[in-house]
Amino acid sequence: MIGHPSFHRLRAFARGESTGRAHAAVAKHLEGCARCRTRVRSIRDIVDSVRAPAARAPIGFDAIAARAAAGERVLLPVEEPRVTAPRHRRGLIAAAAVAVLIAGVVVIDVPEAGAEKSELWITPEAPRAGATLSLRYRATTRLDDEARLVVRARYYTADRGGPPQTVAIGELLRTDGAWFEGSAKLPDSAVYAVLAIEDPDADFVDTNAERWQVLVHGDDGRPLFDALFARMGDVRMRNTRLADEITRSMVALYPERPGAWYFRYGEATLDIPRDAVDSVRAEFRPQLERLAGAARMAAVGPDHLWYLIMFARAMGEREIADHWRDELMERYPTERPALQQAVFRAAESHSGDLDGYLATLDSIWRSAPDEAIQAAASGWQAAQRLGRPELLLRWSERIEAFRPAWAPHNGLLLVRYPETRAEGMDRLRKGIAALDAPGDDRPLGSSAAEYEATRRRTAGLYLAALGRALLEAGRPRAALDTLDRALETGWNPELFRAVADARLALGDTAGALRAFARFVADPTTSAAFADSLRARLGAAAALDGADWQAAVAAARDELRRELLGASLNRAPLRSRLRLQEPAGAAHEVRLDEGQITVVAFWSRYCPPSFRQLDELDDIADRLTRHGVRFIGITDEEDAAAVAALFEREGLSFPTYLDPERDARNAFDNRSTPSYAVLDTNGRIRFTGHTAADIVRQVAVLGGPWGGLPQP
Amino acid sequence: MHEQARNALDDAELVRRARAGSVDALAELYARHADAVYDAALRLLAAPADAEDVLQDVFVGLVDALEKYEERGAFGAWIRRVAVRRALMGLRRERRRVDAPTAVLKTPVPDPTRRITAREAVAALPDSLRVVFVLKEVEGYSHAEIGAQLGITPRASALRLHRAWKVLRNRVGMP
Repeated sequence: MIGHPSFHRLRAFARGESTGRAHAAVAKHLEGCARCRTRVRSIRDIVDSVRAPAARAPIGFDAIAARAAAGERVLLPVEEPRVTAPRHRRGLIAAAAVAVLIAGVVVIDVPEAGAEKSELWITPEAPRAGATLSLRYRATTRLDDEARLVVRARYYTADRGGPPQTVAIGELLRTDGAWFEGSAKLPDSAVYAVLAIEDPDADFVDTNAERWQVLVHGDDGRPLFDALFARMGDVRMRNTRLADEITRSMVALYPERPGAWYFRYGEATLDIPRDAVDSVRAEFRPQLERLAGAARMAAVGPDHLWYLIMFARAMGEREIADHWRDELMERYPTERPALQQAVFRAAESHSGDLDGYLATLDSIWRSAPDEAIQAAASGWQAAQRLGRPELLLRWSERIEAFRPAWAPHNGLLLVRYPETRAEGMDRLRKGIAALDAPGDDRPLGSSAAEYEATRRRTAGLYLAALGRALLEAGRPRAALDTLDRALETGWNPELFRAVADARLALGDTAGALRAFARFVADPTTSAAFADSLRARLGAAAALDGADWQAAVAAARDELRRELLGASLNRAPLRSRLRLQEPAGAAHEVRLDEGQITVVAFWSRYCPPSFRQLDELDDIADRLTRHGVRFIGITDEEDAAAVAALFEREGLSFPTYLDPERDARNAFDNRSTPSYAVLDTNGRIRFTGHTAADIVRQVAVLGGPWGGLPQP
Repeated sequence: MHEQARNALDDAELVRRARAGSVDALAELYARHADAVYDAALRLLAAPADAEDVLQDVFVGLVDALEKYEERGAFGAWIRRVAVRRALMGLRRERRRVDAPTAVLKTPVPDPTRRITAREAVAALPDSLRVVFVLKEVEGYSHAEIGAQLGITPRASALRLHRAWKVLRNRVGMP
């Protein structure tokens, strides 16, 4: 071992978690290093000190007896949460989910931008269903040299919960200067749409933070209730303020709709302390009583009753909710809202009894197989938890009748079991074929290149899973062909490892060496893991150190060629950024100062971005120690809120507010999470949405390679 | 029940009697395990009032919860895990919204003039780091289990542990 072991290794040693070579290496190092011995002792002392009993119960049993005597009940969380088994293929499935997520990057709301901001004027302001829109567009810098532009829309229909569709709906032609004009026709079934403008090759997409939103209006001049509903569902995860406003519009425009009050109540109670809920409930109770009274007086549809039930439940009015649930299920037993309530009731009555729950779901599904989507989805989830292949197959088929696009994902689950391997492989093959064919489901914010990269990555994961399934099915030749195809889909360490394992199992040590070398060469692979792999492979192939080093060096060259070959090389739109520190001070950054720089846009209002903050913090910590500059940019306007968030979450990466929109304009950034990596000349070489890619991209630009400590 | 007889009973017998409605048996279980339950909750929550709530809730709800206790392991370990989950429920409720504007740091601010103890340093960690540290290093959960408890990935759990140690090392002045 060269130098001192990382703190991570010392901790694992001190806590008895390290094994094998890693453990032996630390033990040997400790024999001659007093500093590390002290650190190991400190780690043990700290843990022992925190573990030692220190506090005594401050109350006697009398307090408990008094509460119990008063008839109080407390429902304790007795069930252990289910832990996902740490199986290798789970990683593939998780990665597939990530690949799908990348395609649907959540976008922040940019209130106003600077000179580069584009504009889109849409008329009429209150379009009817299927209307033709007149559009006038002033292009963003990246599109202003085009002669013709394409208008695309992600649109939602009145089918609540159904996935939106994304299609081209019109085109724009240059008129004079930077202005374009044209028209676009809304699909007849659309109630709400988000528009984006792009060049004909889809190299760049201007979504303007998805602020170009169109609400379909009715003959009475009001936006349709379904349009408001779809808009709220679209924005609520990225803009809580706007979601709040939309629910206010809902109750103002549609006070007779329980759905409007249900959503308004949800927003009104979202951020308030627990002890303030009662007073909000008191404010809303007259509305619930009014709506329940109206439902008694007139015939109302199943949808109306469904929201009345949900509103009552949210308000804690169990009796009212149960009454209307019975009414709904009696009046409309085979309609979707009633079937959905039947599923909710089953979940309540079978708490902890998955088999009983599934049996009830089965009878609900049989009562109306064409409508019971909730039963199919819940049964599919329960079957996964039970892990019984015959049930998983049955419920996969049922949910796929409603959601055919889920079939390849089900394939990843089904190939785990010998009993359903054939059905799983069939689904994976169809998924791969669909990805080979030209796609027509490019998400609104994705360029053609991003879309293609996502499809290739997803195809790689399906091919890897199929290859392993073929291997387990006793078809090694077909397995290797399939795995080789998987490798062609791009640099993917998870895939390399899967292929290496397969080749090793087949006795192909040379092929395994190449694949393992790629896995180890990746800068995100930990040094300790690389050591253990080398030992494993060395035992199988009598490998000497020189062979291994040569294979890893060749793999690094390959990664360099692959990433740099596809890299960008463009200057940011401005080189000087006027930013603000969370503590309030102004902070100026020059991007052309001869340093590799990572600029990371994040938002606490964007769940995918918020989930990456832990990883971002770790990456920033590792890279800055190697001389890489890291600049986090938040869309937050309140500096104190950022400081409080960092304190609360224990984050420490360098982050700044962007009050002048300098950073967002410099990178034409419209989304989070989103990253740009600049080379030492200050030119943008990579952009992306996945934190893990940053380490790889920095490495090929001359940053640290491998050997980085992993947590 | 006489004092001497009560002491002679093991936890399994007390559990059986508590299930049958014996308040004395419940009181004896409280006497034996209340300190451990409170201590575990206090480590996680770093707020005595919240830990006391957990202690009360665990024992008020114990009779109902015992219906699902399968007696596969020691009762003390089981009730401690229930207490941990109950404590986490409280934390989750408080942190339901990441942008909750009223979030207030409730951890004690250490006095800079004296050397801080490890336990104080852990109590002063941000919630998200302290919970992972305590679950991993004190309660012995795996990262996969912590992930399942907190609704985060095992990797996120490992990253938080790494950060928790980083902060602790600075605060206690580890070499």
